[in-house]
Amino acid sequence: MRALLLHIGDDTYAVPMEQAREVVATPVVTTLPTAPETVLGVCNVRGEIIPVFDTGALLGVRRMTDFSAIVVMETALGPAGLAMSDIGASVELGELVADTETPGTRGARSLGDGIAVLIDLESLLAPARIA
Amino acid sequence: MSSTGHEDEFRTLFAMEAEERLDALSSQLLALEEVGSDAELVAAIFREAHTLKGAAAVVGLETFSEVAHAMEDLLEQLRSGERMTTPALIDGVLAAVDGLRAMLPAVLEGDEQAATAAALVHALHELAEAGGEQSGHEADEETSAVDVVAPARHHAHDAESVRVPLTRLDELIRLVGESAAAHLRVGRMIRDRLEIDPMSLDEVRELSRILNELQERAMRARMVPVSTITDVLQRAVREVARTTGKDVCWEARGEDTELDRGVLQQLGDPLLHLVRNAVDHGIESSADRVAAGKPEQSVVRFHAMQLGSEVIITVTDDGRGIDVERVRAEAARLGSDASSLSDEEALYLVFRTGLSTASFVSDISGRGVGLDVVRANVEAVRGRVEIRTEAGAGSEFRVIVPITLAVLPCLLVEAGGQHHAIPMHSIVHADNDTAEGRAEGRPVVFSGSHAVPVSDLAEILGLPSSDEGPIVIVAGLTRQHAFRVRALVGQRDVVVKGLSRLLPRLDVLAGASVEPDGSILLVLDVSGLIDRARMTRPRAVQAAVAGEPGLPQRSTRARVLVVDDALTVRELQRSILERGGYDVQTASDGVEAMAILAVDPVDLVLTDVEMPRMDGFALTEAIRAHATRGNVPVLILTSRASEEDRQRGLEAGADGYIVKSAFNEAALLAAVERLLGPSGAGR
Repeated sequence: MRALLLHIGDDTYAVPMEQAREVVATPVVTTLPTAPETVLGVCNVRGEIIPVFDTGALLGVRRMTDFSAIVVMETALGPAGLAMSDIGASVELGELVADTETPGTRGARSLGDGIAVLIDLESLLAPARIA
Repeated sequence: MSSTGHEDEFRTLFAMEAEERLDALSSQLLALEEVGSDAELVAAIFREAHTLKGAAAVVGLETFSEVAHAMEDLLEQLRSGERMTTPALIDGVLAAVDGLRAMLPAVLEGDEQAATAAALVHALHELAEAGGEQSGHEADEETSAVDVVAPARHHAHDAESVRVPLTRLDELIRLVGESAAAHLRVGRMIRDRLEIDPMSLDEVRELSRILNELQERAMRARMVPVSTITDVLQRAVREVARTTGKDVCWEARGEDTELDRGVLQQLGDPLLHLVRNAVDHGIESSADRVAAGKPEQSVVRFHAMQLGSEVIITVTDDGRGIDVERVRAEAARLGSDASSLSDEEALYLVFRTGLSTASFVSDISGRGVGLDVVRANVEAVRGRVEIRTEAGAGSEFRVIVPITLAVLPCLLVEAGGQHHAIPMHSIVHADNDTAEGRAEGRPVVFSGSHAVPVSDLAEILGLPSSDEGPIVIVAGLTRQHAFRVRALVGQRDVVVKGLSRLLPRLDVLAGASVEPDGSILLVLDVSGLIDRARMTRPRAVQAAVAGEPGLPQRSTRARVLVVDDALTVRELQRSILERGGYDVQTASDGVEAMAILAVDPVDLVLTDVEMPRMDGFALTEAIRAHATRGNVPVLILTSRASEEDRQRGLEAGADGYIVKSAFNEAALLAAVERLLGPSGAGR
C-alpha cells in the first residue's frame, strides 16, 4: 500500500497515502489555552483552521516539543494535522511483519530493510486518546 | 423515464411547501378559533388542506395525502355550514396538522408511517362523524381558554420570491465572508509591498464598500421574522391554559422583528419552555388571583425588539413571581451555599442543572427542556437570559441574542503576547484607567456598586502574565468578572468559525478566526473564562467593601443618567454616550433613577418607557414634580412609536422622544446634543 512516512524522533511511522491531503512545512501553530497536551494548537492551512496534534504524545512515546512539519489527514470529523519531526517520503509498504500493541497503530510493515509502524487514524484520534 | 434524482428534488420542494402550508394551517386555525366564524377564513383553511392533499399525492406520498384528505373532509363540514367551529374541532385539526408535521421527515425518507397515518385518519373521521350534534353545548363550555391580542398577521406569498435551500444561502454567505477576508489580505499586501495605505486608493475603498454591502445583503437573506415561531408559542399557551384551567390572555408584539433563521430555530425550544412555564407556574389559579385582588384573567406577554445588533425577546407573566428563598433552599439542599448571594444572584440559580423548585418543574413545562437547557440553548447562539421577578406581581425572562452568528462584534485585547477576541455583547466596561482597589486581600474593581474580582487574563489562559494593564469587565450569566489584559487593541467584527470537532470541548474558547495576515485569532467564551477564573483563584469576593471606591474625579463633562431595565440597552447607551464625551450613570428603573437624582446632580435623563416599578412616563412626571431637579431635561427612548404615546410622553414633560427602531449612535448623540450642547461643553 502507498503510505507517507512520518518520523517521530528516531522512529518511523506511516500513514495511508489515501487519507493524507498535504504536508505543511514549518507551520505556524497557535496554541489553544487549556487544551490537553496531545493538542499542539491550530494552524491556518489556506484559510481553513486545522487542529494540530502531538503525534508522539498520542502514541504515548514522547512529547514533540519541536516539530518541523505537519501532515494534514482527512478524517470523518474533518481534517487533522499530525506533527512530525521530519518530512518523510512517500513509499510502498510491504507485508505485515508484526502485530503492534501501541494504541493508535495497526501493525508493523516491512519497508526495504527496515519496518514502519502503520498509524490507525481512527483510534489515534479517538476522543479518549486526545483528552 | 423515471429518475429518482428528480423525484428527490420534487420531494425536497414538497417538504418546503408542506412546512409552509402546515404553518399556515396552524395560524389560520388559531385565528379561526379567535373569531369563531369567518367564511373567508374557513375557505382559506379548506384550500390549504386541499392543496396539501394534492401536492402529497403528486410526489407519491400516499399516506400523507390520505391524512390531508380526511382533514379536508372534516373542514368541508365547516365550509358547508354543516357544523360550527368548536375548540374540540380546532384541537382535532391542529392535532392532525402536528401529526403531519411529525410524519414529514420519515415520509420523505420513504417510510410510509402507515400506522401513524391510519391513527390520524381515524381520529379525523371520528370527529367528522360526531358532526352536528356536538356543535352547541361544547362551544359554551370553553369558548376561549385563551384570548388573543395580537396584530393580524399576513402570510403574504410574494409572487416575486423564490425558495432557496438554506445550505445554498450559507455557502453564499461563507464565500462573501471569505472574499472580505481575501480583500483584507490584498490590502495588507499593498501596504507591505508598495508602502501605500490601501484605504487611500479609491478602488480599494470602493471594493470595501461593495463587499460590506454584499455581506449585509447576504446576511439579510437568512433573516426571518419572529412571527414564524409565535404561532407555536401561542398554541402552547393555549394548551397549557386549557389543561390547567387558567384564563390566560396572550399578547404578542414586535413579531415582525427579524432574526437569523439559525438563531431563531435554536430559540424555539427555550421560548416554548418559557411560555409554558409562565402559564403553568407563573400564573396562579383563578381562585388565588381573585384572593390576591388581581384580575382573574392573567396575561402572558411576548415582546421582540431589535436593538443595535441584538434582538431582545421578553416573556412576561403577571403571576406570582419566583420565590427567591425557595430557590436558595433548593440550592442548599443540593449542597451549594447560596446564603452569601444577593437575591439577584440567587435567582439565577434556577438555571443550574438539577435545580428544580416545586414552582419550576411539573409535567407540563418540566417535560423536554428545563431552565438549564434554556440557558444552554440561548448560550449556544451567543445569547444570554436575564430574569426579573417581583413577588406577587410576576416574572420576566429576557432572552438577548445576536441577530446573526456569522459575524460577531468583538473587542480585541492583547494578553500573554497574543491577541484575543472578546465578544462585545458580554463586555460591561473596558478602559485604560479603571481604578483598582483591594478587598479581602484581593484585587477588585467596581462595576456600579458591585465589587468585581480581577484576574489576569494571560494567567487564566496559561500564558506569561503581567501585573499591569487595562481592565475589561465582562458579564457572564450570573456574575461579572474583571480581566487585566496587556493592552486594548481595538474593536472589530470577527467572522467566527467553530473549532474542529476532533478537539475536546474547551470551555474558554468560543471559536477562532483567520486574520488578514493569516494568523489565527482566538475568540474567548466569557462564561467559560469566568468559571475558570473562579476555579483558579480562591473564593471570590462577595462582599462589597465599605465606603465608595476611588471614583474618577468629578469632571466638567455633562452627566447623563441612563434609565432602562435591560442591561444590554443600558450598556449600549453608556458606551455610545461615553464615546460621545459624556459621563454616564445608569439606573434600572424609575425608582432607582429617582434615588440617584436625589443625591447626584444630573444634566440629562435618558429613559426607557416600559420598566418595572416606575415606568418612563411616571419617572418623567416625578422629575417634573421634584423640588430641585424639576428642570432636568428628559429624553424618552422607546419601542413605542404611536402618536398617542408620543403625546403622553410630551404631556408628562419629556423634552424629546426617540423611537428605538430608528435608534442609532448618531441619532442618540444628536438628540442629547440638542438638549445639552456638544459634549463636554457643559450645560
